[in-house]
This record gives sequence, C-alpha cells and structure tokens, in this order.
Amino acid sequence: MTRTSLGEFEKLVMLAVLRLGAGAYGATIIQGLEERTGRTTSPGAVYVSLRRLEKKGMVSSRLGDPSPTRGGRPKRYYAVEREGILRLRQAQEDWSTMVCGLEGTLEQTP
Amino acid sequence: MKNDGPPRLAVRLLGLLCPPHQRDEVLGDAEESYAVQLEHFGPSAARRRYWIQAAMTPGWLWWEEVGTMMTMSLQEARHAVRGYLKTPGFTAITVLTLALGLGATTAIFSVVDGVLLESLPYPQADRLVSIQHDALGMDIVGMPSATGLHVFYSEASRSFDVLALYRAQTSTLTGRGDPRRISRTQLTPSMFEVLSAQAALGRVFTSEEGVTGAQLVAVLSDGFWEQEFGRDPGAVGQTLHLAGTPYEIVGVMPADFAFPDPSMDLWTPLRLDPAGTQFGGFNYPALARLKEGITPEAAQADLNGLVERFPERFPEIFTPERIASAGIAADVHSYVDEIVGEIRPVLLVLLATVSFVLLIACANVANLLLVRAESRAKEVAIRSALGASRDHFIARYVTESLLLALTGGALGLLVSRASLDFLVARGPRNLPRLEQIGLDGSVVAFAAALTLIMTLVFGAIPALRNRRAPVAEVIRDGARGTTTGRGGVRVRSLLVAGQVAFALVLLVASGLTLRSFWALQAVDPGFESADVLTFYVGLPGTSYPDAEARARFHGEFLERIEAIPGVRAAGVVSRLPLWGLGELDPILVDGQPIDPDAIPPIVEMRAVTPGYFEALGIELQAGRWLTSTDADARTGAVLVSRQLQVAHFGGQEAVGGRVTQGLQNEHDPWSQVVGVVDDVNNESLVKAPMGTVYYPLLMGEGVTRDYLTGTMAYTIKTAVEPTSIVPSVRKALGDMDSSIALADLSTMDARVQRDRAPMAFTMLALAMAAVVGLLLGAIGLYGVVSYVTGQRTQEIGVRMALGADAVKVRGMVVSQGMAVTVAGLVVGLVAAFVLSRFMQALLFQVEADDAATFASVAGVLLLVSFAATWIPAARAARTDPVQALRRG
Repeated sequence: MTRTSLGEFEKLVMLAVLRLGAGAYGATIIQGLEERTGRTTSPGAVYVSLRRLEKKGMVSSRLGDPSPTRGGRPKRYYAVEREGILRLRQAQEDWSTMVCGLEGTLEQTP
Repeated sequence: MKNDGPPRLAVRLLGLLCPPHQRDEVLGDAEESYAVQLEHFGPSAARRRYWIQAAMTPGWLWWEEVGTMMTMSLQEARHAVRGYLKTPGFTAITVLTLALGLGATTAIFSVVDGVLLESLPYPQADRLVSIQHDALGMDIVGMPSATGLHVFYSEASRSFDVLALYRAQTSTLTGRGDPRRISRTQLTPSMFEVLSAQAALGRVFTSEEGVTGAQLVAVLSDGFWEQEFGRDPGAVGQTLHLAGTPYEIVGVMPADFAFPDPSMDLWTPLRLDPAGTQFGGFNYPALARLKEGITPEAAQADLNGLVERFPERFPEIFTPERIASAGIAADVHSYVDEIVGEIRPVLLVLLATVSFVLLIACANVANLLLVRAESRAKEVAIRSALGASRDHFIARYVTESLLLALTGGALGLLVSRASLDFLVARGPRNLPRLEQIGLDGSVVAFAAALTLIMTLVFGAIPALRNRRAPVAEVIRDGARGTTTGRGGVRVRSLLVAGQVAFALVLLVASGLTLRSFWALQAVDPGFESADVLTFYVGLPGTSYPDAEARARFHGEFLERIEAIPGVRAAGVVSRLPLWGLGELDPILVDGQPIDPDAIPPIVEMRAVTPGYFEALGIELQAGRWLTSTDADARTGAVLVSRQLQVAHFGGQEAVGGRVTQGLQNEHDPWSQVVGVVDDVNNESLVKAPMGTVYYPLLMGEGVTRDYLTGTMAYTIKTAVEPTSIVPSVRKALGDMDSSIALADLSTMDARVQRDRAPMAFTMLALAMAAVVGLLLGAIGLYGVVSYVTGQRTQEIGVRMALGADAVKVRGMVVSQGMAVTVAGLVVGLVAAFVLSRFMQALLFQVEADDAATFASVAGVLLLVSFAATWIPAARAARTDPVQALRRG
C-alpha cells in the first residue's frame, strides 16, 4: 500500500479521538476540538476526516447501542488504530526534527 | 408549547439530505451538540448553530461520497480495461455486437423519426386534411377533387374553416436567358389560409386573384428568388414569363415553405368561376383545414351528406342511381397520413426489423456477460468471503459494462452515420422529407438512452447473480471444475433460443421480400426499356394554339431526331409508362349494351405517334398499326390494348369494332379500332395494366381528346448509348423553336429502376438485418455451446477414458446445440407466421405465409446452427482424456 499523506486537520481529529479514549464519538470529538483549539469546527469536515482516516486504516469505528439522550439514535464510537498512532508519532518526530534549532527564530518573531 | 429539542424543520432537513448510512450517527450527534449549546449559550444560539449544521453537513458528506465512488470507478475502469485487453475476442465480439445493434437501430429510427414522427412545418398540421373521393362500385379509390365540387363544398359544408385546391405542374420559364422547365403549383388563394402560411416578402394571393379572368400573378419560392434574383427585394413587382405569358411577382415565400414538395419554384393562382356551376373533372387534389374540434370522420360524414345532393347540384352528370351504383363516397383523412401513407408500412417493418436485431444483439451481449460473470464467480466469492464490499462489486460491474456500452455506443454512432448515408442514398424518391433526415439531437438522445439502459441491465445481471451466490457452494463447485450451475445454462440456452427465433423471423421477412423482388424483376412490363432516351416537351398555348400546330411541331421534331445518327426509332406519347395513370374516362363499345343507370367502365387514354410502339418494342397482337395517314387524314382510327379487348368486347375481336369515350347521352363520335397492342404497365410494375385507348395526335372529326397532346413524352430507341445523342437533340430543338426546353430527361432503364426502388430498398434493408441477425444468432449459439463444452472438458475426458469414441462425443455436443436451435426454430416459425401478414402490403405476387420461403429459411438456419455447434463439437471430440483429467 502506498503511503498516503495525512492532512493537518486529520491529525487534529486523531489526537482528539485519542484524548477522549473510550468516549470518542461524533459529538464529543467536535466538542473536544472546539474546546482545545478555541475555533468553531464544522461537523461535516470532522465526519469526512473520520471516514478518510477509516479508509486509510488509521481509525476504526463501531456502532454503539441506541441511547435515549439523543433521540434514541446510536453513537458511532471511534478508536485510533496502531497504524494511526505510528503515523502520528512519525509526524511528531518530523515536526521536532524540522523545528530543532529554529526555536529562537520562531519565538523572537513578535 | 415548550420545545427543548432542536428546530424540527432543520432535523427533518438534515435527515433528508444525509447519506442514508450516516444518518443516525449525524442526527444523534447533532442533537447531543444542541443540548450542550443550549446549556451554555441559550436557545437562539443553539438553534442557529443547528440550522447551520443542517445546511452544511450533508454537502460535506456527499462530496466525500461522490469522490470515493469516482476514485473507485477510475480504479475499476483501469482494472476493466486490463481485463478486456486480456480477452480480446470477447471484447471485440461484445463491442461489435453493441455497435451493430445500436447503429442499425438509430439509423432506422432516424428515418422513422424524420418521416413519420416529425410533424409537417405548418401550424396545427393535425387539422389539415386531404379530401378525396372513392367510387367503390367502379374499383376506384382516391380520386382528387373537382373545381365545381370545391365551390359546392365551400358553400355547403360545415366542417371546415377553409378549403383549397391545387395542381402541381411544370412550366417553361421564358424571357430570362435560355428557356427552361420549372416546377409550379397552381392553387386557390385559400391554400395559404389552409396552410397558415405567410409571405416572407410582399404578399400571398388575394381571393380576387383566384377568379376567372383576374390578372395573372405569381409568388416565388425562396430558392427560386435566390437563383433568379439573387435575393433582390426589388423582384416583387417585376414581371415573369411562363411560356410567354406575363405574370406579376407579388411575393416570396419563406425558405421552409415547400408545398406540395420542396422542388417547387413558384406558385400561381388557380382561377375558378365562383358560381361553380360546371362540375369539372376529378383533377385537383383538395386540402382543407378542419374547424376546431371537428374530427376527419365527422367531416367525412358531413361531405357524404353533400354527395347525396350531387344530382340536384350537377344534374347533367349525376343521378341518384348513378351515385349508388358507382358507390361514390367522400374520403377525408389527415394530410400527414397521406404524405407518409405509402411509405409507412415499409418504415414500420424496418423499425420492427431493427428492433429484432437490437434484441438479438442484447441477448448476445447479456449472454457474453453472463458467461464472463460465471467464469469469475469463484474469484468474486472468495473476495467477498474475505470482506470485499457489495458496493465494490456493483461499482466494478457497472463500470465494466459502462465501458463496453460507451465503446459500443461510440462505434454504433459511426455505424449509424454510415448506414444512414446509405439508406438516404438508396431510399425511394417518394420517401417524404428524405433530404431532411440526419442524425439529429433526438436520435442521439435515443441512442444515449439505449446505451444507458443496456449498461444498467448488463451491469445488474452479473452483480445480482453473484450477490446471491452462496460462497461455499461456488468455491466447492469451482473445485469440481464446473463453475456453471444448471440454472445458468438454462438462462443462456433460453437467450440463444430467443435469438434463433428472432433471426428466423428476420430471415422469413427478408426471404419474402427477396421473392417479391424476383417476381418484380420477372414482370414483363410490355415494353423494352433498353437503349431508350425519354424526355417531355411542353408546347406553350400561345405559339401552338391547336392540335394541328402541335402535331406539326412533333412531326417535324421527330423527323429531325430520326435524322440523328444512331437513332433507330422515335415516337411520342402523352404519358410515359411507369409515370402513373394518364387521363381516365368512361368507354363505350359499339354493340355492347350497358346498364343506363351504371356509370360506364373507366379506361385510360393516350395520344401517340406510330413510332412510340416501335421505340419501346410494344407488340401488335391483331390488326394493323396506326399510320401517319390516320393522323393526317383524321380517319378516326385508334388502337386498343389487349386488356381492353378482353374486358369490354364481350369475347369478340376488337379490330373492326368501334369505341368512343364519354357518357351514353353525351359522347364523342365513334372511333374505328384498327389494331390491338400488348398491355403495358403504364401505372407501375406492381399494378396490373389497365385497358388503354391509343389515339393519334390528330383524332377523328369531333373527337374532344385534343387536350391529351399538350405535353408529350419523346421515346427514342438508339443503336448507341442513349444519352450520347442528347446534344444533337437539343440542337435540333433549338433550330426549331428556341423558347422550348427538354424536361425530365432520363433513360427508360432508369425509370424502370426507379419504379423498383422502393422494393429494392426494403429488400436490401431487410437482407442486411437478416444477415446481421443470423450472424449474431450463430455467434450466440457458438458461444454457449463452446463454453458449456469447455466446462465439461473433465466429464468428456472421463467419458472418453471409459470408451466413448469421438463420434459419440461430437454427437452429444451437436445434439445439445441443435435442441436449443430447434426450440428457437419452432417459436420463430410461429412468430413469423403471425407477424409476416403485417407485411403483405409490401409483398408482390408472394403470400405472407409462403411455405417455400418458410421451409428454405428454416433450412438455412439449421445449416448455420449446425456449423456453429460443429466447431466446438469437433474440438471436444479431440479431447485428450489424460490431459482433461489432469487439468481438473
């Protein structure tokens, strides 16, 4: 399989899923993203990212039981797969390598 | 009312727009988010947020959905192309089958669309009707109208907005360079109202211009205006000379005005006596515009009421008894039907034919795809057992067949283009609007729709079949080496039997037409068409006012023609054979009693010079020929045709008898019959000859048939190539009178060809369809038999190992194929028996249930089927048992 690229937003979504653990589903992922980044997040963009990540094999999902608090509709729970974690780690390493030695420049710019 | 939930309308909208498989998740999340928002920011903010989400989210989701499908399809397409290239035989056969089927169908559909479906270019053309009269008591149908009748109907009928008469003819245009023949139609000024047509420039005729004695005016066609006046608006008001008579140009019609056909150069008014006391002859076709809401049937009943009043209106011609015995009745029918009438059965048979070809093609492609799907059943079963999704397979199959259909469809358009050119080039002249037929938008849409339907059907078959396939069974079957179940073979055998049945119907239709064509070729028209040059010459009444002047002209012109080297004989006749019926009139035979209340029998009359019979090789049966003395001395001698003698002389010899024409109380002086000549197919090769009286150009004293000699046709038998003498003929004419032109120059051979053209066209088209049908049927049969045989290689190997010999194996395979053939054959014979009677109108001297045709066609089909099964059977018989068993 060819190495598919990961978008910035896709990484953020994966991190949000990881942070939520067993409680990661659509509504909580969106809230988590909004709280952490402080930006309004489009649910549609989140769903699309989750679907793409799932197709790339980095995220898996399962349908939960219907719950009465949300009009009787089931939640779809997401979890980050090993491949996803590996890719996040790789991204983190790439980031550190590239940033190394530039900390001063990045911080000095007002 | 308290409402804690999100706005209902937005919920409904979101639910409606979401892709179904994500709906629950999205709605649930949205509701939960709403609750959080409500708690933190209050109801209005929460509501606004929900609305934004409802509006935006579905767009995101569908965008992703479509992208996924497209990526998948692109992958699949690459995959499919690779697959097709690996099996070039399958691919070529499928694509060619589709191309032939689609191409032939769209070509014929174009013709049918152009001729039958396209409406006439006149507003509310459905209200245009043609008025004709039948005299069933005299076996006459479709007589045109008459001037007196037109006036009577216009006054007394209550069904029409307006009625009109017309007559197309040729005239000589003079005073503008060399004289030449042009096409004009005389019409009552009301015709423009009937057709709702306006002049593009100037005006059409006023009703005063349609009255006897009014000033002569003309309206030009767009083409004539361009050709003669270079589209100069100043043409209106100028004067034009037709045979020396001046006509003032009052208008120009728009380019799409082509009444009664596109060849018209100009129109002049038909000038009638408005009192309409004279009945006139049944010489003018009539058109009328029905009043709003009146049906042709109601109008016909209205006119038939008026027919009963003929005796009071035209007492000198009609008595109630005569009307009853002649069975005179009005016939009002749609003008569109009249235009397309003759050709309709031909086109409908062709349309049915190509539909059959298309069905055969469909069955073939379906069969090929089924075979392919089955041969891949194992792969598919294993892949779905390993978790490949259903969507994936549907995308694959639809992409695959879309690829085939697109390629086939594109090739089909090429085939269609080529066959359309062919059909238009070969089509009978009388095919209305033939020149306007092209591959237009609606035809391409038709082809696209066909392609789409085919794609969906072919895509669906394998997807549906494989979806149901129980994995374990397929894999186990595969291990046994027979991937095909009994059901699959049955479906495919049914398809092949259907193909055989359709092919048989096509073969029968084409066989019947072929026999008709042979019969037509064998018709002895009563004349020899080889090496005969023909043309018409019309003499203007101003310079040739009477029969003597005209006879003098023709006599001198014939002398000059006979002096041209290579001319063996030359004569004139008032109307060429195969040019339709000439002037008709009742005949009276001296000494043969007739019922005073019956209208006498009708015969045809022609004026001739003696050389006419010699030029066309028409034989004398009894008596003597007309001589130049008969004309010069006005001896009153005539010839009659054999048919006339048989039908009207009560078994007596005609020679020595006397005939005349007209009604019993009002007829010409008697003419002496001096000879009997062979019958000639004057009307058409497919119409039995009618009794004919031949008058000399100068008839007996008091005989009133002089009008026959106005326009004469020349027949010149040559010892050289007939058209090679045309320059000499033109020169001879120019030396005599430079204001006269040759019209409708053609060889007699060409006229015979033209008369055969409609049937030749039908035969050709049907033969093409039948050959394609037979070929496709054979391919289908071959495909199924060889596939099934291939699947049974192991079994055959076992049989051979157990002692079955090659002959037995071959017999087994052939009999299996032939069983399918015979089943199709039986169904096809029954279908052909039922369907062929619809083409009786197209057949000539052959019955629709002709046993010989049915038998020989069945024979051909059996032979071809045998050949198609023999090849795989022979291959099976060569099976090496050891190899076969090892391969399993």
